[in-house]
Amino acid sequence: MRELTFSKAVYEAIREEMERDERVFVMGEDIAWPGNKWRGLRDEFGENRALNTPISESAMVGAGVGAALNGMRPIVDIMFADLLPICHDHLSNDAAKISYQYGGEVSCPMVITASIGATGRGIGPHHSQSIESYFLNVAGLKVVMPSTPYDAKGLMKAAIRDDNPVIFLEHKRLRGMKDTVPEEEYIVPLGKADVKKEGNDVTIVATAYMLRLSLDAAKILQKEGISCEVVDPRTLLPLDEDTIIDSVKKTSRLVIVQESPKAYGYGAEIAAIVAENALEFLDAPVKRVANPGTPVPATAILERAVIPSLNDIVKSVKEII
Amino acid sequence: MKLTDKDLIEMYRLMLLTRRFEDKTEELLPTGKLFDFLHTCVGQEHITVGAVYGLKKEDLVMPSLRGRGAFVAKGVPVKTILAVMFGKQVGSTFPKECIHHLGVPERGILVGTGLIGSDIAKATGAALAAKIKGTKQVVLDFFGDGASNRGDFHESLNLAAIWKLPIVYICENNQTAMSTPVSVSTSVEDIADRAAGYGIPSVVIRRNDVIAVHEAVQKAVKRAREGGGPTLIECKTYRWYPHAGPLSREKRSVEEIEEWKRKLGYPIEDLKKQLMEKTILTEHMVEEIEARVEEEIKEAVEFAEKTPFPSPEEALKHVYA
Amino acid sequence: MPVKVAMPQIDLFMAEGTITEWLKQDGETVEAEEPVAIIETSKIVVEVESPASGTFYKTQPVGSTVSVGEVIALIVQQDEDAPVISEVIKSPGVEEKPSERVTEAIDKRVLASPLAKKLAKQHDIDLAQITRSGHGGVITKKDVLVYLKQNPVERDDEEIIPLTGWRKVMADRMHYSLQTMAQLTTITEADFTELIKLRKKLISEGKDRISFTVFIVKAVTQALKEYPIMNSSLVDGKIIIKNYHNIGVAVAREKQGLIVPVIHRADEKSLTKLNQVLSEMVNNARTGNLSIKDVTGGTFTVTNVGSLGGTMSTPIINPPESAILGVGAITKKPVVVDDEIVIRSIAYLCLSYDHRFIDGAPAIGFLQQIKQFLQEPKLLT
Repeated sequence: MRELTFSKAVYEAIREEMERDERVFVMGEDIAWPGNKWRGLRDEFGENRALNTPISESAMVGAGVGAALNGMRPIVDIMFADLLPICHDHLSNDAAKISYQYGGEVSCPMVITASIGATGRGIGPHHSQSIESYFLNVAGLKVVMPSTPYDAKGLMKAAIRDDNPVIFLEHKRLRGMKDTVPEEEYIVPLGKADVKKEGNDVTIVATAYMLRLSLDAAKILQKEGISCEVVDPRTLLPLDEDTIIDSVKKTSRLVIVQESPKAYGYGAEIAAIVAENALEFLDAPVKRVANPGTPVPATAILERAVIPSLNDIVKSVKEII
Repeated sequence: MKLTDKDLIEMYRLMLLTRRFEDKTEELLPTGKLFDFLHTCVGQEHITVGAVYGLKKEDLVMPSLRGRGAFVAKGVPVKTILAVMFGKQVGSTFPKECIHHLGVPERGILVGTGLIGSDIAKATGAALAAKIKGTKQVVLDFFGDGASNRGDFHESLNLAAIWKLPIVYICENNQTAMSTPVSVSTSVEDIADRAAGYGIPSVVIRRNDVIAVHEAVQKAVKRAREGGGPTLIECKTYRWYPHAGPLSREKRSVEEIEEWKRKLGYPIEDLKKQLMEKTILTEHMVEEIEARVEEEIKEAVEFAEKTPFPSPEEALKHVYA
Repeated sequence: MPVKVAMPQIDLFMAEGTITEWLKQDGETVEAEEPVAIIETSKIVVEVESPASGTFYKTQPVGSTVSVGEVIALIVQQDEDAPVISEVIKSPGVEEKPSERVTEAIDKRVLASPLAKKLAKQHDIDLAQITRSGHGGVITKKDVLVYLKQNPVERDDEEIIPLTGWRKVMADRMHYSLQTMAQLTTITEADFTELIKLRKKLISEGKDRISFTVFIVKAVTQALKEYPIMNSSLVDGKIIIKNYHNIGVAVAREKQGLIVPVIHRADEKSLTKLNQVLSEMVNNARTGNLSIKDVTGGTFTVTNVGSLGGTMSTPIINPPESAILGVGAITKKPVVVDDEIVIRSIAYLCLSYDHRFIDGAPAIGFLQQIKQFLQEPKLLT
């Protein structure tokens, strides 16, 4: 089977869906630039279906909603997820509410793609954030955060085919990650978590790049006789609660890793869900490994100080074994 | 298009129906049966009626906050409008939005927003979809003077201009945004001047003249439909009633309001006079139209009273498509 | 210096006693040897006498369990002041710190992980019983499992009786006996036909109903005259042969297990006297009225397993004695007499003895002697 990078897997998904359904089109900044990730789409489908936009993130997403109202299925690329707050009005007030406002008669089948996460190089507070939390509390939105190329392609296809607005977050550090990706058509359903590694002593829930670190942590912990079960939610909204609850019932311990600031992140939601549904199965406090509560600083050495590391995950697990 | 007598009479009727309806809602407001803020378009009926009249069925309309005339002119029965204002469920599902922003897909009315100006981007997106699809649809986007200061206004006009979108922007400049006069909020006297900033042609209509509005809009629609791109039409008008119903605070003096009425004209009265002078309308016809309108309003009240409320479970539906 | 009254050592195995009643009040005058308290051990209830005359002051509250040798009262001499009790008897480490009470109340709230709570509830364990090892003193699943291993859960189809009190004493004695001595049992049959006849005759003559046990005790004391080694103790490498026969008779009590009242100087008592003493003792044993003297000082023990229906046994010697005779039930059996089969009343005599220093010859000889006395009861005087 062939291997694709994360970026290529996402591209392939979009390309296939644009071919399959003429209502699907993309818009983004700089996509006409040779070498841009979506330049190929413009070449293949024409400039009408792969629009090169000015710096107008708000109107881009607003127009995306409007296009959806008139029968299209837009994919809007916002270069850095850090920009998404500009679009928040159109995401949370428009896109998220269309189906509700219409009583189900019309919906908003739009996908927003955006890059998240610290790069490791310390490129600064506006190009390194993990902002999924901004949208997780918005009823009507869906939020996806894949950790492998395989999942990325399958989830992108599912997102495009979903009649709801989906925010598709790609971690910068995963762009070059390679993985076997089938050539045949496949979908990874939204709202379904994946147990990336089975184990018995502790459940680690993590997303995107943090998921990869958690798998590495699991290897280290295994050497010390601690068996970790690593669960990848893949979709954060709607969350696959059952898979997480079942895992905690099995292991009795929970560590959640998030790159975003600790307070009010998805870790809090998962801990609450477990407290509501599986409290008597817990044998230790729930731990969260996260950014302590800072913006992401520029320069690598400072960035490393606030982004959860492999050691942070290992240490946190050990604290509750 | 050339306006026939029939057209003129119909426009008169539509404006009258709108006026009588608005007055009825003002009358009903103290009964507590209307659950929403009341944003009547009394004194401005000519803009929506004049603009919407003569559109093709597939053309789309994004009404402004004071857009009752657009609903009426697009053929939404007033009894439906009133029932929605009473909070009743008219169709098989209950759209969970207020009447002012309600989307009516079968009449080509796009869902608005409670947030002034955001809908400009959505309307622009609907026009984008029309262009990509090649449907020859045109979108009319209504908004007030206040909205023209919103970021989305500027981003949207730019997008519409660069992509030559089939959209007509109609600014209902009624001189006041809630309580703020346009003279203190807006950098230009004629909002139409802003069009030049985006390389878009513009028109200013300086009287409450339904025929003038109609002709200007028809010209712009033709241009848009033929791929000529957007136009900005500014209609100078005046808000006769307070912002949100008879009890909302009113800074403007009675004298000021009367002066503006004299300056700009009386939309319905002036047309009636004109048509009667040309004997397109007779006394008898006027009476008949009046009676029919009364009947329709009466029927609307009865209908609104007897239509049932939605069940509480409706609140939980349609969050997702 | 006041004279101390200590918890007495009533028997070899006693470790502690409970003060069930004070017979004197603080400040009361007592005479030497006057009883001042009633104490209870796992075996019996006894009185404690004052060792001196003077003024009595107790130093332990009623109901307290005190180790042997510990002071329980003081007898203040004539010209002394009343003692300050706290000075005299306070044992170290018993100080109460009032401030600890508050934290104690909070600490009493047992912290356990939800999983540990669930497990404990499932197995009906009181969380307060479990030792904590978890973080911040929280009981975790591991702690519950450790507890369960150490304290297996009671089953519906099992009854659990802790080995305490008299049961523990008995367990310790039996174990000690077998551990220290080289015990073996030699068995013979005895023909009780003549004895039965004699007994019947005595009863028909209006004389006392003498129990079989009494005849056996008599036979034993007479046989011991011939074989004194069977009436000895091996203590600190020395064989102490006792010339007095204090014969213990094992009595089974329904609720408190075995007790062995001792007939002191049984060799000096007639059958009638023996009978009287024995029946009194058995009664006292069953009603809990034996004194210390009644249960101490034995030199040989007889156990009538036959009264419970047993045929034969290998009885365990009662330390510091060195031999014990068990008698089985008397049953009619066919035996050969003068080459003919006849029906006779037969019972087994089982003698266990300490083979560390008692040979088979004297043991068997002793047993045969007893047998002879029982088979020819007119030899019993």
